[in-house]
Amino acid sequence: MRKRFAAMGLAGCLLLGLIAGCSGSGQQETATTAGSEAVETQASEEGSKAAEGDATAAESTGEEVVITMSHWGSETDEKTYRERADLYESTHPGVKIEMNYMPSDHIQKLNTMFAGGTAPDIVVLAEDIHSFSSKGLLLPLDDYVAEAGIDVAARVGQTAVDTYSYDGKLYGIADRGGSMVLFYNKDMFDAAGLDYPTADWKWEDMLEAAQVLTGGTGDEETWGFGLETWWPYWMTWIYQSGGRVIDEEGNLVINSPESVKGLTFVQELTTVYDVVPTREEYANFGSGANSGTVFAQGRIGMVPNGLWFFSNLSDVDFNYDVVELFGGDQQVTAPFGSAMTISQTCKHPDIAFDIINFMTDVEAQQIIVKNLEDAPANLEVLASDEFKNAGWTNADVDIDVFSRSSEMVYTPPVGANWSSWDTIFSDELAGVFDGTVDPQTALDNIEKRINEG
Amino acid sequence: MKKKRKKKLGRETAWFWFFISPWIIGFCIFTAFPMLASFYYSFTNWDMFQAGSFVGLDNYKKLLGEEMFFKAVYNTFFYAFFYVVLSTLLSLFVAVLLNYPLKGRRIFRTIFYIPTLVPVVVSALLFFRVFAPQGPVNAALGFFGIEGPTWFFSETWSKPALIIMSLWGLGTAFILLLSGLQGIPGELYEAARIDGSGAWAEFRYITVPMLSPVIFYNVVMGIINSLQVFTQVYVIGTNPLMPGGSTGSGGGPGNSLLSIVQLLYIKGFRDYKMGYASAIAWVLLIIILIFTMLIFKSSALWTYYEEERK
Repeated sequence: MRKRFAAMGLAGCLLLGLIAGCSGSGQQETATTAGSEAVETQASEEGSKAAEGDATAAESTGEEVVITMSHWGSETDEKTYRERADLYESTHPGVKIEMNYMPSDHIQKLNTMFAGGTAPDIVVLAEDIHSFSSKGLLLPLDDYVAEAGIDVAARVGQTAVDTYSYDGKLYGIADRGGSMVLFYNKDMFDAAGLDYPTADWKWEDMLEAAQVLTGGTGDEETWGFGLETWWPYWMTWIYQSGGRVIDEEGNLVINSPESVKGLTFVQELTTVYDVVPTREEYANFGSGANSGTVFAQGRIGMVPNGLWFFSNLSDVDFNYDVVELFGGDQQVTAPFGSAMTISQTCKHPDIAFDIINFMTDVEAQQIIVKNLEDAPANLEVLASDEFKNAGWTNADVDIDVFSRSSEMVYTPPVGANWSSWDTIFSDELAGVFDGTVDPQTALDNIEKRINEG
Repeated sequence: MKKKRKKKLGRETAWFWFFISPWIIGFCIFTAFPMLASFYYSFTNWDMFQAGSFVGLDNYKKLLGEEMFFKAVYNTFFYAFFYVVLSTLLSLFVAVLLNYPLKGRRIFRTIFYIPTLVPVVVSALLFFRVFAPQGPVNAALGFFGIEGPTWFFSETWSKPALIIMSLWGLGTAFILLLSGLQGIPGELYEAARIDGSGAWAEFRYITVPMLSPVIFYNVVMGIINSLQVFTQVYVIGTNPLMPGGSTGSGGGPGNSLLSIVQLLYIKGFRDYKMGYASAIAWVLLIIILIFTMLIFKSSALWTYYEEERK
């Protein structure tokens, strides 16, 4: 009898614990600081578990600082971030970096974490950076940069500094970089008797070659050029026509004759020249098809892409090379990359900054190259022989193109509203790519939707 | 004696509450509380980051004035109607067919049930390929000289493609009907045959009435589930090849696939208009409630329970 009551009491205690635990996480808004504390405590508990068995180590874990860091990407990305973190840990005892790898929906996850007050200490962000910085969720880094005496512009270039600054404050140090270049199928050019693309090519040269490379039917059908609706694949032509998306004050200036010219170029690829696969044609290659995968099958002559694209070409049975992207009125290309930022709720901003400083410096950036992950943002590493001889591809390609292209990039309009604007752009421009909506109408709709909020 | 019994009852009651408490607590924390919270949020402009302010009925007013919402309601009703009607007829047809002592009927039953075990996400990815403009379906149609539509890429054919895809997974309804069929006493058919009934009469006057409670259950669940259709729409609609797919708009061509829950998801989790999304959720709840009640009220007219026979 007594035993039974004891059991009931015990179970009751467990239930009470459950309620307490749940209601704690229910009050997310008020628990902002408590939440991040909880994460850290949990993390350091895991850390101390690792050090178990050594009595003295267990004692010193009281001083161990755990810094959490989030990123997205492929398994190569995951491996590379971890290796760089290990390198930092090995030279900085007492600091442990906990990685939070988000293979999908990373912006949504981050939004939820920021809303719940459990944001990672270090957050890797790309074009979405100012959606966070403008809401005061990230820490301005200028004071830390000054204190550490770093010349960020010399390290990663002025464009990268501008991209990751908002309202005159720097919020992120560029981590990965690179720019859009043109990949082309040499065999297709040879078979058609065409000269290979060169750095001084213009739109007309590309169109001329693309028309020759397009033809065939069924499984033999080929296209000269490939694109889809991702932002660099339309914004670049606007910048090449002398247009812009936002001005220095952050006002929307996309609705201009220059933009119409750039978007007309995109549209005529389908409606006039018919040299790019339509979305229906891509769908025949499977649900994950895009210009890159179809190029890798030897069915597209030229595609603009980034350094990471080499990994998709490791076992193709044709010869290819890279060249600077062709130009329009202006010879510019799209920058790629990401930056490391620190969240406002970080408990140890000094240590977090030391980590991102270390990670964007030469030694840690070389790991990005060694693992063939991506183009490093660090200009010194990008221009190094290690980068050129890293073995990005076993094909004989002009790898120096990436270093030269990094000087051709425009500053992307990564404002506070990037996420919502990108959605609107993509919605409205889909018809331009398909040839069903004329560029001026699309731009009018974009302007209307953005100004209406 | 009486006193002792009362005491025992008290202890039993205590045990009742004890055993049911995990469920009640779970319900309160994970269902009731979020529901009440979303009801409150539907009157605010909460965006997940800043505490929202009370905006009264604004979200509901805006919702009822939005073209996208009515488009989503139309698409959802279209899907729900055709899915429920077709899945009911088809699953009944298949179940009756596989209740006959055919050779290899166990294998066929398994074959019809297996698609249910395939996760919806996987089947959506698969059917994206099956319905590709030059995919297997159109190749088969081409064999008969029919030029197939572009299915998911066509405003007209995207919903039919979605419905056909969903019908692939009617195994659950089919299994329930099959077990219902096996519960019908053979004497009923025997008696009917003595009276000289034909196969159709047996089906119409014995099989269907005896199965009506199972059909009723399938219809109710079908309506509730299909009015909340989301996963397939999301997977197809957010495919980067779809218009707006790369940014998670995910409504298919001309928003012809946009469902109510998809709209809720876009507003809540892409645009962070949680108040607005909550309002959508409550309107959807009311819609589902109305349909379910209509079905329940009408069920007396067409379902048959043996126990109720007077």
